[in-house]
Amino acid sequence: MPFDLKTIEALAPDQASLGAASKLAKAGKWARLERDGELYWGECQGSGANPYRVIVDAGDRGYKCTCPSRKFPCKHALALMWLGADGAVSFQTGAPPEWVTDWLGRRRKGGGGGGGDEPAASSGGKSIAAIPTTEMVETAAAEDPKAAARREAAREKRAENTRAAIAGALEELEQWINDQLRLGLAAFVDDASERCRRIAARLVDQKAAALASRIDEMPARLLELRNEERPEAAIRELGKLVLLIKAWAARPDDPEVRRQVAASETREQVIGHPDTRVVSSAWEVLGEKIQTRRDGLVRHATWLMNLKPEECRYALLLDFYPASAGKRSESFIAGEQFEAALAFYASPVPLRALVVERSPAQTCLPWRDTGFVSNATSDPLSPCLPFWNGRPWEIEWPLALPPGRIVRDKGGRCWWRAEAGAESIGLPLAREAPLPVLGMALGATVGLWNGMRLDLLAAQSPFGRLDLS
Amino acid sequence: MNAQLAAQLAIPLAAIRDCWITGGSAAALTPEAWRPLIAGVSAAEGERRLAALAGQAWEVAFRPALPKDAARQKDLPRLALPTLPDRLRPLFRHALRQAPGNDRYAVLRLAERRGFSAHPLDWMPAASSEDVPDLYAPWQDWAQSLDQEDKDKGGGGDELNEDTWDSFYPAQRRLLLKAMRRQEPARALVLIAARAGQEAAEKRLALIETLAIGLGDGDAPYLQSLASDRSGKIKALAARLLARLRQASAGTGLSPEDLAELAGFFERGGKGFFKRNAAVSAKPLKSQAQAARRAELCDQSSLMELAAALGLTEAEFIDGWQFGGQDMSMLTPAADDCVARMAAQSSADEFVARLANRLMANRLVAEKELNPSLPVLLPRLDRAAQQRVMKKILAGQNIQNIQYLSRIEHGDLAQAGDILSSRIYGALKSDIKGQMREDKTPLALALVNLFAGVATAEAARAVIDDLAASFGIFPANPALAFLRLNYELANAAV
Repeated sequence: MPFDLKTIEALAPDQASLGAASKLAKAGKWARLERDGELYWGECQGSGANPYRVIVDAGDRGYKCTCPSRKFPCKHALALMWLGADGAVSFQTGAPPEWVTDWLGRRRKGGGGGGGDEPAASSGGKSIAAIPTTEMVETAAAEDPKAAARREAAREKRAENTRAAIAGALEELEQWINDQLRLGLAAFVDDASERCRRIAARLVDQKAAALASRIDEMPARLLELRNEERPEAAIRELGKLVLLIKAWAARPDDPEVRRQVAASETREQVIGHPDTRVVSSAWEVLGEKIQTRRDGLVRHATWLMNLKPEECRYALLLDFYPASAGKRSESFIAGEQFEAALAFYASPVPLRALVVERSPAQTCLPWRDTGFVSNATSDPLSPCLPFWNGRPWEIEWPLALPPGRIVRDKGGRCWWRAEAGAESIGLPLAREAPLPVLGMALGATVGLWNGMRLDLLAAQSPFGRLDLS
Repeated sequence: MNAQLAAQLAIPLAAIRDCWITGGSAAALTPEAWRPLIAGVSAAEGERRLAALAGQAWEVAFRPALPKDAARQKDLPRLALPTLPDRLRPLFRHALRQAPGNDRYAVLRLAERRGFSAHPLDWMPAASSEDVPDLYAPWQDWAQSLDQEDKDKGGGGDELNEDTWDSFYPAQRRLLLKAMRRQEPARALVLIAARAGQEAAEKRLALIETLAIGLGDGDAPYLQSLASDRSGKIKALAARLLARLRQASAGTGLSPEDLAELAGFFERGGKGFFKRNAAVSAKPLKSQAQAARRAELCDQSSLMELAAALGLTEAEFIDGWQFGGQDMSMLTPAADDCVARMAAQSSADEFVARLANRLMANRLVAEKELNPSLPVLLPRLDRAAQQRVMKKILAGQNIQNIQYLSRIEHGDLAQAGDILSSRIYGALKSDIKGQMREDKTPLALALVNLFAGVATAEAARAVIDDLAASFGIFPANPALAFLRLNYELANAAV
């Protein structure tokens, strides 16, 4: 999947980045320009004392730069892509230096979006090529059974300690929930930032890091709503926390629950888990949501739609990385279609996934042939049922809507409305829709529904596919 | 969705929410059906369970209601041309962002020439935009309809006549009138004469402006009748159009005093050996206020009227005009600009072309440089004349003149050789070279990009290749997006 100029333009976060990159896309700016097959790396002198180290993998569009920019890709990565695509500058061929191989090892080659662990993840991760096979593990065990037994015992001990710590954390969280209800949600909404931060810190101390992040972001979710909606939203949030606590108490080893409370599995654990489902299909990138969290991590969510939806209609590729570390996984372009084998994290309703293998799409599949569009014209939210049943604590979930339109009320707020069958239902949009969309009959719309707002991802219209993410 | 369940729960849930807003226990408010679920547990556990149940109930049983005032807009019309291919839309957006203000229309015109319209998510005319390309008139009408209560318009089909007049939005109506003027000018005139009087002044002005297309003697009686219009702008427009028809009888509405004042800014002399040929020049001015007053009067008058005030015909005025008055470098607008603007507004095509030819041959301006008063005439010139102006621009060295290329409406005028071997391109390359040394984005690249409006696809490609070969500038440099769009669109059209 080599770069070309149109791909680079599509990857660029904005025009300014392209412009800035063009200034760097000349050999004189680079102290070093080398390559090994589809892997390019270089050192570009920036404003810092040391040159920025930049790596680009043309095979899967992965990249990394040591500059502090919060744009992804940054201008250095874009410039290196250009240099690689243009061919006017000669790259020296050589073996990757250590800092390149380090990145390769960390980024889970081929495991785009979803390779990134949340900070509490237990492992630094490895390249897919470096994943030890069962045979290798068995051989190692056979070589030193006593050491293996000691390691296993130590692991069990650590796991037990973690479970105990989390159980304590969840008890504290239960008490905190009661405190908020007792002291009043009006005060909670006003002081949510501070209160959530305090309990989140306690949860981190007690190894419930995933739950801590979720609670830390709760104030931001509440603030996106109107004042009068916030108390109800707070009850929904707190209620979902209660459900998660109950689920943990009932099944602490359930991978889905553990992921929500403690940390995600490593790539190796996902691939090795007996419940992991690998789905090979054609996928379309519905859109990306990039959010810098309060803890300084960037949450990079890429939503995919299965174009042959026998199973697993949607996939969420998640990556977390410090803004300064650069994106570790593959890059996607909204609307792009490709063939891939995705490994879904074990769950009653599989959603989060890893890319195991990816190749360009052979043909472009229109949505109308995928059969995913809901026929539930009487209740557009009925496709949410599997999530409500299987993952009732989920904050948002993908939703394909039947033919409908975006309408606007007198106050200027936009709503999605079914074209027929459920005209009285209106799903309020999280953001204002582009004006022309108000004049389009949307044959199908996909968005993220959080119970109170619809965040549009993409739609089909008489003007073709609309990227609304 | 269980509407019955929702109906049962709505009041208890609201009560629970209100209780928790102020704080306290909501156990007593628990709906009857849920009581078994919280029986036998501690009060704290009961509150938490109630929170989980309430949250789930809101999510599962309730559906947000569409406000009654939420209105469906009419469909965004399809345009006469297909939208750009998806793969070229990012490039198109880059090209648009590079183009300031009305230069955007040059990008839109290029796409139109190549057989495509913009995607509505990439560009839409605002309801208040002026001079929107005709192709997009249906979208402008649509944008205007968003703010109007009357949503029933647009049902008149393609046939505009007196009966269907009210079923069209103004921009669509103007578009149809323009088309009608090109094919059946007399029929369009009858329609305008019948309906324009019922429109407000601004809309009336826009309708009467369409008479400039295919303007003929048959329009004169109606235009003369507008001398009594209550709008000064319309009176002036009618007079200018009449002037184009060489009928000054109606006058522009300028009072005799004002006309005399205007004529006083000019002086008539003789030229040639026997001073038999008329020479007209601008009198020296003493202040910027005088220059502003002269420009104001020129805008209200016509060249024919001014010429007559000086005892000349329009042709004599143009032939005798002395370029480069004494105030030229000091005060703006210069007299040359005033005369050119008057001609553009009110002179017949042949006089506009005549003045353009004189401006192109004007020796007062450094040889081969474009007279700065010439660009204002560009929209009135035909393709051949526009091409001559373009060549004049290319032959000069003043790189700022490149900006006038975006006013040239005809495309594919310049071949690769025309640009690459031109003096102005050489001057641009010198600038780029100097700016490259300064290690900044060469500002001159933005000017090179403007060649895209007049270049053939091959020429656009050749310029990009030449810049890459000369300076290592990358084809994907956003400053060159317009040029790239030019040849990429040509490939897409194939």
